Amino acid sequence: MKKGNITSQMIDDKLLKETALSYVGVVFLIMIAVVFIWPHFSDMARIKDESQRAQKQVRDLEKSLSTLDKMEELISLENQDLLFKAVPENFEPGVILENLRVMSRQTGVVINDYSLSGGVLASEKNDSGVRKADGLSSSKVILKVAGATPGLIQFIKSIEKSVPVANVQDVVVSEVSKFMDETINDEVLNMSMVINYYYFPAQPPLLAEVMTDEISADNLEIMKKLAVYQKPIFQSSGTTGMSIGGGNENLFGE
Amino acid sequence: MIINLLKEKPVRVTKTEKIRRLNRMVLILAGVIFGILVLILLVQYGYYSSQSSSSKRRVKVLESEYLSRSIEVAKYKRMKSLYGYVGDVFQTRYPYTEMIESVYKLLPSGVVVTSVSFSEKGSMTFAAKMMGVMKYENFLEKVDKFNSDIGSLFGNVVQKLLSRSSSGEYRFELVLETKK
Repeated sequence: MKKGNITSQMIDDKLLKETALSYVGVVFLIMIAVVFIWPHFSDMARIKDESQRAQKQVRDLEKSLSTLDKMEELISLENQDLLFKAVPENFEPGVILENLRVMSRQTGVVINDYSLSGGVLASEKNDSGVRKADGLSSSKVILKVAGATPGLIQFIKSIEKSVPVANVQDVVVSEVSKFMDETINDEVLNMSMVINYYYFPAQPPLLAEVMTDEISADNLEIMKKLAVYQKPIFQSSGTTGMSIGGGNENLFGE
Repeated sequence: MIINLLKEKPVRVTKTEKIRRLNRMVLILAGVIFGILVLILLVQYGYYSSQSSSSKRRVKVLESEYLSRSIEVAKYKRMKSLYGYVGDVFQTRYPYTEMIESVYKLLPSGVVVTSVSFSEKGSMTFAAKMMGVMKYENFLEKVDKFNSDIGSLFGNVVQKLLSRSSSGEYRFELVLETKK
C-alpha cells in the first residue's frame, strides 16, 4: 500500500472518532444546559415575577398619588370639613344638645325631656354606644318635644337636614294632656322620638394599603346632598365633646 | 482485486462524507440551540433585571412621597368610609316628615291633629278631632283625591275609628298604608 492512500480501516477509525466527538459535544452541551442554564430559567420566572410586582406597586402608588392630587379638585376643603362634621370622631352630646336647642327655637317647639346613651368622656376613650362591625358607632338621643304640627314637622326636617347627620326613629305624636293646664292650645302636641347620631373614631392610616378606590359619582352625589345641610352652630372645642355655648341659658333654652 | 477496490472506494467515501456532514450538522444544531438558549436567557435576564431595578427605584421614590402625604392619605381614607356611612344613613331614613306633611296639608281648617304613630311596615296611624262631621267628610274626599294622584305616598286608607263626644266633638283615626 502506498503512503497517502486512505484505507477503509483508516476512514472507519477517523469517522468513528469524529462521530464520537460530535455526540460527546452534544451531550456536553446538553449537560451544560441542564446543569447551568435550566436552573436559571426558574430564576428568570422569579425575576419576572418580582419585576411585575414592582411595576404593579408603581402603578398603584401612582394611582394613589394622583387620587390624592385630585381629592381637593373634586371635593373642596369646605366640603371635606362638612363631611368630617357630618360623622365626627367622637359622640359629642354637648354639641348635639346645643344644636337641638337652636333648632327647637328656630322651629318653635319646646324640648321637654331628653336622655342620651353612649358617648366618649375626655378621660376614658373606650368604646361606647352601639359599635357596628365596620367601625361606625351610633348613640341614641331620646327626645320629647312639644309644639304645633308644622313646627314639629320642621323640627324633624331640621334634624335630618343638618350636620352631624342623624336618623330619626320611633316618632310618636300625641295630644297634650289638659289635666294640669287647661289654657294649653289645642294645636300643641307632644312628640317623642329617638335620634341616632353617628360617629366614626379616628383610625390610624394603613399606609401599606394603597388607595385604589377613587372618588365615585355616588360619593359626589352624597356630597352634593350634604352641601345644602345646615352646619352645626355649636362646634366641638376639642376632642372632649364639650360645646361652646353662648350665654347663661341651659339646654332647654331657659 | 484492484478493480474491485477502485469500485468500492467512491461509495465508502460518499457514505463517510454523509456521516461527517451529519455529525457536523448535529454539532452545529446543538451549538445553535445552546447559543439561542443562552441568548434568550441573557436577554430576558437583562430586560427583567433592569426593569425590576428601575421599578424598585421608582417604588422607593413614590413610597417616600406617599408616606410624606400620610395626613392626606388618612383624610382620604376617612372620607371614603364616611361617604359610605352617610349614604347608608340617607338610605335608611323613614319618610316621617313626608308622611305627616302630606296628610297635614289635606286637613280642613278647624281639624286638629291629636296623634300620629308609625309602624315599621310603613303605615301611619293618624288621629284628629273636629267640630262637625262635614269637615271629616271633606277631609276624606281630599284623601281619596290625593290617593288617586300619581306619586302619592299612600296606597290604602283604612278608617279605624269615628266617634262623637257629648260636646259635639268628632274624633277619627285613620291608618294610611304606604305604597309598596
